[in-house]
Amino acid sequence: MEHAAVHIEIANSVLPAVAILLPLLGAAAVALIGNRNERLRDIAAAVFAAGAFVTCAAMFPSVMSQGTKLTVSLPIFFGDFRLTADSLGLLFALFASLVWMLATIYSRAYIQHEERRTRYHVFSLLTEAATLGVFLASDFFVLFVFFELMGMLAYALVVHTQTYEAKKAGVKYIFMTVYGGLSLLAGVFLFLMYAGGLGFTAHPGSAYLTTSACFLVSGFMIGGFGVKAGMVPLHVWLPLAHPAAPSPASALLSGVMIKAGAYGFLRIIGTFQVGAPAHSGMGMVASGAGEAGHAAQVPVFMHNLQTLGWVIIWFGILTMVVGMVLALVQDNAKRLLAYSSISQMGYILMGLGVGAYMGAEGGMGLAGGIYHIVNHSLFKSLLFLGVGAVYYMTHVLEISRLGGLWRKMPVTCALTCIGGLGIMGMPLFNGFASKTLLHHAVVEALGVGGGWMRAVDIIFMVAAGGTVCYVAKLLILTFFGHHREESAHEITEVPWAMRLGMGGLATGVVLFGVFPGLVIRKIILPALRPFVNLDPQAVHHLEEIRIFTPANLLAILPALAIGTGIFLVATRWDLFQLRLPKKVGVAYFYTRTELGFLRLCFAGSKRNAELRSVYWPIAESFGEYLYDSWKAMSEEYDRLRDVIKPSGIGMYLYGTLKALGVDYRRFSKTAFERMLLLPMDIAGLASYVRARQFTGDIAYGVIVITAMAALLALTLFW
Amino acid sequence: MLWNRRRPGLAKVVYIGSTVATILAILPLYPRALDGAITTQRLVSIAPRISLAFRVDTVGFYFALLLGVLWLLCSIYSLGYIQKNETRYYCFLSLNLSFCLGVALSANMFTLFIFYELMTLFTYPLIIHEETEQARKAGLKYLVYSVSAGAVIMLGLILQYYYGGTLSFLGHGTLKLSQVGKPILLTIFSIYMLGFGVKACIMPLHGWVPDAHPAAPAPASALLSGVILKVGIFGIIRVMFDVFGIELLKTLGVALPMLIVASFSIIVGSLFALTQDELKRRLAYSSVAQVAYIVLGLFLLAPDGAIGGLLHIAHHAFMKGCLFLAAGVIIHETGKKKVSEMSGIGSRIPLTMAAFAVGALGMMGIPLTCGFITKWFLGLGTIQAHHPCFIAVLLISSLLNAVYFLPIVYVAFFKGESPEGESRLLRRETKRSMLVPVMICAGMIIILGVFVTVKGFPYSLVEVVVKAVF
Repeated sequence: MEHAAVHIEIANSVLPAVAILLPLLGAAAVALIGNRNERLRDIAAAVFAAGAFVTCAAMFPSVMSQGTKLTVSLPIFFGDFRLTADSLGLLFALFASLVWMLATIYSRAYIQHEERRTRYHVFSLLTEAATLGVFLASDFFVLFVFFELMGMLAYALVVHTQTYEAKKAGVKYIFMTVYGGLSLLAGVFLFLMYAGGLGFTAHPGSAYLTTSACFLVSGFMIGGFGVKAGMVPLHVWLPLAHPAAPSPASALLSGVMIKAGAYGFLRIIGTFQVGAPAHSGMGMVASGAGEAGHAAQVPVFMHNLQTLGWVIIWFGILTMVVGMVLALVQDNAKRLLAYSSISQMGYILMGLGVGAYMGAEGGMGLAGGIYHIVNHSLFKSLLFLGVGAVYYMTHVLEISRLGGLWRKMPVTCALTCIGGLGIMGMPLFNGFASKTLLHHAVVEALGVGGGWMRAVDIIFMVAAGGTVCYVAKLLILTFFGHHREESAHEITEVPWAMRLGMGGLATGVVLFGVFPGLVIRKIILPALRPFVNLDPQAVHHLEEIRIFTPANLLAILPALAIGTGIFLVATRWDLFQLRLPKKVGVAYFYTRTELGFLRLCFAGSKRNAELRSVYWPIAESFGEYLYDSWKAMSEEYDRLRDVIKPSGIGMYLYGTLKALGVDYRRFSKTAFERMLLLPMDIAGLASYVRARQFTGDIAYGVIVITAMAALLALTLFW
Repeated sequence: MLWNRRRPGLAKVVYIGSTVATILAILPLYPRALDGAITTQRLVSIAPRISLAFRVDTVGFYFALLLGVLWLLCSIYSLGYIQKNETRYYCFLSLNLSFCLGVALSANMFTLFIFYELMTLFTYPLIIHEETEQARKAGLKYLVYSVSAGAVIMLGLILQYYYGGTLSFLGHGTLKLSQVGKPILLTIFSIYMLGFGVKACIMPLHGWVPDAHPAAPAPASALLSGVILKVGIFGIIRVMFDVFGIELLKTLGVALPMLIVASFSIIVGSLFALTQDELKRRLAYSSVAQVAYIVLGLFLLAPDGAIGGLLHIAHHAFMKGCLFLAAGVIIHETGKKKVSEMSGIGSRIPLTMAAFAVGALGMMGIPLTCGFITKWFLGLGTIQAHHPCFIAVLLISSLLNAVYFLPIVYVAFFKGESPEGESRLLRRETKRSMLVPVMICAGMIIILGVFVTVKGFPYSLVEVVVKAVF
């Protein structure tokens, strides 16, 4: 029985708490130093961010190599607020703190041309603390607390520049975050209810594992994590928010925080891991081999996990394709990268979905997903920092206005290209390894899923081609060719701090690409430890896997061909300028919903006419897109009020009816009013409804007392 | 009490001194309250088995302590805020404190009722303090609502005494199903709910709230919203715990209707708040919704729900206190009452608006604020009570809170230009006596939200209460 469920030791250690406290202290230090000594402040920020990384690295030997869990209990909240570094969480914490450290170093130079520098550093460090908290949480309660905090704190990073775009993005961001947090909270409550605890695994025998309640729970949780992960159709905030932030913050948003969503998906899959069915004597046969006749022998939760995996795969595919297509047509470099992040999250979700779908054999999908998470955080941060460096020098983000920068910024160009090659999945760069694993996982799933998985395989290939294309477009138009526009500024290489930040990430991209076997054995496989259901044989197979085989190398050729094809065709006929009609995007429907909601609220206010005028500015602050629709709505209300002059509740009902599609004009004024008020008259409440004036209140009092007298009489003569 | 027209300065000193003394007088009871011990003191006997009597039990102590603390904060704030008729104001403020304490520490329904009525009457001068037309109207509305509610409670009192034979609080229900019968019990229950529901502003009995709050001066609004509404809730608590008892309520099957009424209040109150442009009116509607949280928690009839509900009494007091006091600073410093006029005030009064933002986040139930603790316990309660659908009410309400609070913060900080530019750092934000209570409230929101289980904080007391009852 040399299965994966190695005996996991739990040791007390303050290190997880230290990792979170250091950025917190850093934020305090930065706030105290403030603008008095900018140099010292920036150094302090970098030192504390580095401290967090070192702390995480210090946990590496015992957690990753020896399989110990380090845990610490803080006496806040309900007395046992526990942080635990297990191998999965620590892997996330490790790369999060690494990217954060490099981005902080980079921002030391970059942020010079922004306002409110202290605020930026303070919130960056606070957000780092919250993000590390998400990864080092010991149960869903702690995870939720940090997740929500991370979302709220990052708002300050999104709106940092306080331009019109940033504020608009901020509004969308904050409301999606609030919504996601609530959905997650609902999921956590339901998890507690059905699974009998808040830990990351459900209690054996609980309703969560034996019934389909798990779909309800994981549905709500996915609703929460999906927002953060930029999963289509919950992604609408991402392409606004990521480009709006200053570049190092975009790198953190796209490179790290978005991964908190993926981490949530991993934890959801982890809830089903309650000891491998192999050694509990339950049927192992069917899940791997896919023979329908044996399906009944698979425990219910494995079956549910498979269904869940199937759903996640398709969400992943949708995300991958939507992100890729939209990235292709972007001109703003940061928007392009933001859509690219959505697309890459699609890869990751697909990998995790395959991992869940394959049940005990899912090691390949999970490993591919996790590997891609790490890789994506390296190369996407690098690309954002590279684009940020270009913006720092040229103040231009539209790639059609750039070009030929490699002469003037050779180091930036080289480093950014390393990131680009990484995301394209070129051999010797990290994307190649993870995409190969993902591809292997899909191929393995072909045996179980049949035709559907064939489709997944093809779409995966096309998406990889699209990735090659948009990255090539970004790099070629920015750095190569001829210089399209004379810049007002003297363009030189960026300061050393920025080069250092990018250089660190580029080193990571290369190292993770050149030594994939080492990475898999030392980092990825230990991170799979919480997934105890995995078949040890499959995991062992992973250990032996070789990345640089001729077959794997050949497998990238179709993607390259597709990418080059799209690129050539699109440049030839200028297809990169294509824009889809508004109604195709989900954002349009969100706006409709928001408006419908506001409409309903204001239907309830009888002072609509007067309020409307003062509410316009506020509606505008929700985003200009609401403003025009708002105006149309108000005019409609004027018409409505001419037809009938109802009381407050009357207006409310009208609004409801209108929302349901009933045409109020069919009711004459008097008939409708009477119909509405008759039952209320009977209930003696009509005067209350009308108790807007003082007389109405007197009437209210009289009615209440009369009713009481009646009740008294009734009681006494029962 | 301190009717000193000629020397308002002295009145202030005496007044603050007496408030502090009150708190100091309450504090020694703390260890006994934590043990769940009960101290009783009979004052006057009116009739056989009816007397004015006091008793300190845990829930009473909890409420009394909260009263003291919030009263002190609002009083300090008043020193800066109240400009005219100070003596009258402090006199009634002080009288109200003693009446509220009387309610909290009463040993039977009769005593509670007497103090409840006195408090109701003596709140009136606070509401009409500004003596504007609007204030008078609001005051009258308040009186009509409250006095008729008082009559209703009186009726309940009579019925309870007639059928139950005692009005004392004994820590368990005194009405017995076997002796009284279901219809009459239901009648008594609904009468009490109607009576206390007016002060606890359960919809549709909330009519006076949105008028009275904006009319009153800011510290008085904070007290109204923070504790005086809670006096109604306290009445409901006494009715639930000491008149009927949890078991009887479960048998009567009144929980679900009350939950639905509370949910209605929560959602519709929030929807109404959304459409208000006057800040204090918006806050008032928010109170309608938030106080219904407490009712929701209590009527889940589950330990965790009750913890959530009882905690929210203190949590909401600090959050709404913070918001109303901050609103007062806004009015005092900028003269702006409407949300739509508040563009850019964040740069004028940054600390106040930061405190306001903390209060708003608390209302939304974001972690690290005490609003989250409430939400968490209420959520646990819904699960314990096997009514998980009410989680949806909590979450939708949080979302609505975000929708009507965040634009205020947004408009204040991010909209418009900062008018004064550099010089703002040199300018004092507002009077210290006003700023300090606001900041203390904001601090309490976070402290109560993080260090939940510290001895002496609401949770330690509430736990004892709930253990005794369930």
